[in-house]
Amino acid sequence: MNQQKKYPIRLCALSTGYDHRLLIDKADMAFEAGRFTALVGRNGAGKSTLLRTIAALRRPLSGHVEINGTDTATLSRRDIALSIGFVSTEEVRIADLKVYDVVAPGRAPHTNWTGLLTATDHEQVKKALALVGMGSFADKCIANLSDGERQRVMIARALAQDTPIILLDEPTAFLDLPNKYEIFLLLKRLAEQEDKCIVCSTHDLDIALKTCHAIALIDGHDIKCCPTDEFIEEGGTERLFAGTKLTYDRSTHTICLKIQE
Amino acid sequence: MKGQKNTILFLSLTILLAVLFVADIVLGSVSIPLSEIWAAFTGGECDPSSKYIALKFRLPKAVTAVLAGMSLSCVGLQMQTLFRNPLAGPYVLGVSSGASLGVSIFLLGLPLLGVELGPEARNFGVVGAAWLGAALIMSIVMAVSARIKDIMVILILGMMFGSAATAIVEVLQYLSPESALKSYVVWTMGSLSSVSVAQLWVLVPVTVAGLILSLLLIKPLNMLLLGDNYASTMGLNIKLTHQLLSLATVLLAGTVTAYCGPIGFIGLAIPHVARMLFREADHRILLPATMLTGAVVMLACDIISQLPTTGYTLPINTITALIGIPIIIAVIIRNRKPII
Repeated sequence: MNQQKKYPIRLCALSTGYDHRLLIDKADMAFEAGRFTALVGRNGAGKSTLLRTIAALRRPLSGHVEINGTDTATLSRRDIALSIGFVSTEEVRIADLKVYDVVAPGRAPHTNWTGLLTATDHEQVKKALALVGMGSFADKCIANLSDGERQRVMIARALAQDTPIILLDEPTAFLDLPNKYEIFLLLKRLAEQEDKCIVCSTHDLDIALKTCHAIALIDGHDIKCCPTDEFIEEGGTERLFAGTKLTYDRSTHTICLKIQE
Repeated sequence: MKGQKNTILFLSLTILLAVLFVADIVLGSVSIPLSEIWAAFTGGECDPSSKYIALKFRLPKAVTAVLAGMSLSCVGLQMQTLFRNPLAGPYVLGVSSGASLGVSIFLLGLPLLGVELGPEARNFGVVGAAWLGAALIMSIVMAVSARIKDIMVILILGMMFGSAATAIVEVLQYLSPESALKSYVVWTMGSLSSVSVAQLWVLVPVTVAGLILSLLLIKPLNMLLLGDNYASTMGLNIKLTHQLLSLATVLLAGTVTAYCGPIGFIGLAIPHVARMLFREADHRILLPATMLTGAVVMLACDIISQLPTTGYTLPINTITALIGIPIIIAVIIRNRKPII
């Protein structure tokens, strides 16, 4: 039973950032399937930029991203859409747009030019809504939902896309604490149940430490990923909070203010 | 339930369209009895002048009204989705002004350079010039919107283009000799009724092509509704889609402006009327609904502008403004939160 680990996303000497500002320099790493990985780093460290680079929404400065062994630069938008589902920070708040009609376009890469859904597509949309616990909301208008509910719908849309990889850019940014936990636990469950590779950028480190399988830390042009225990063990939290008033209390597993000495 | 409501709405609008189409042919500054009109169309005995008015004047006008209404409102909906803004439209974003500028340079600028034009060349040249003008403004707006995501900037820019176009036209008018000026002024007063049968041979195929292209873009439009990032990661080729939408805009808004003059507020207001009626955001329903509503409203505007029984005719632009502006004000007041 020596099951080989699968790494759907691989960064190969990847550098990303902007012309005048390098964010990540020659990173070599991989994200594992069936795992929920949190991408952490300080403001402006390059979390969003990295996610957008993996999703091929922007070009790398050098190096490349491999999805299941293929360089994304050689893939069409549709091929990428068959592998990567993306939940961005864009707010979808359109009058009269039904929840079902937000999730249904997730099937776009699987349908023909008319975009008409087959019975299988409809099943996938319903399954996705059920997985995030929004099955009874299909006919509601997206504009009338709470932030937490809307975020679930956006995750359902990515699920309906039926991809091995889902990337999420700060999906819990505007949510209250119970909702943040709900979303993280949901993503963890989805990674395990559906064997998906889920990567989510976040500033909610304490929740990530309690719910994620692995933590990827962007720290000074470098990115390193390891299982959550190891991350804590090796002082990843201390590195993240270096030079701030915060520290991580290992006995209580919480982030707290440094005690003045 | 939901499907049923939409079917009833579509059916009612289609019947209304048919009724207004007939009314538009029957009503006019010269009153012709219904029996005469019927005879003119079926080839029966009737007064030759009645026949001429019915077939050569009122029928083209009614066809033009339907196509102009469909085209402008279709472009309006596409731009609102494309720019994710409820206040986008061909007139507001300066595309109609661009088309007008193209026409004015053609009708006023060329004579200034000493180029003489025959009636044939003028007929087709006006459309070509309108397309070029519309395409120019559309590409500038698209280029700016690719860099600046703030939609207010785009809207203000559109208004600036409109004013700039007007200013250039005024300069041209000032410099122009009387004969050229006359043909231009005739064009600006252009209404649905100025479209001749010969011009219909351009107007009909081009706008129908543009409308079909728009219908083919329903899936991309539904994806764009969620925003560029979502559309892109769902497999949409954003660049190609933008180009196709721009092409549809140029064909539809450019052609209609070339033949009917700049018509405001239809493109902006009609998609909102369709939204209020259908309560849908899915383009599969909203796009045909918008086209149908546009045709109905344009026919109604045309009938009103004829001021039946008075013998006077008002410019179509006046009527569309009077009908469109209250709708737009209602939209702004109703939706203080961002919606499309």
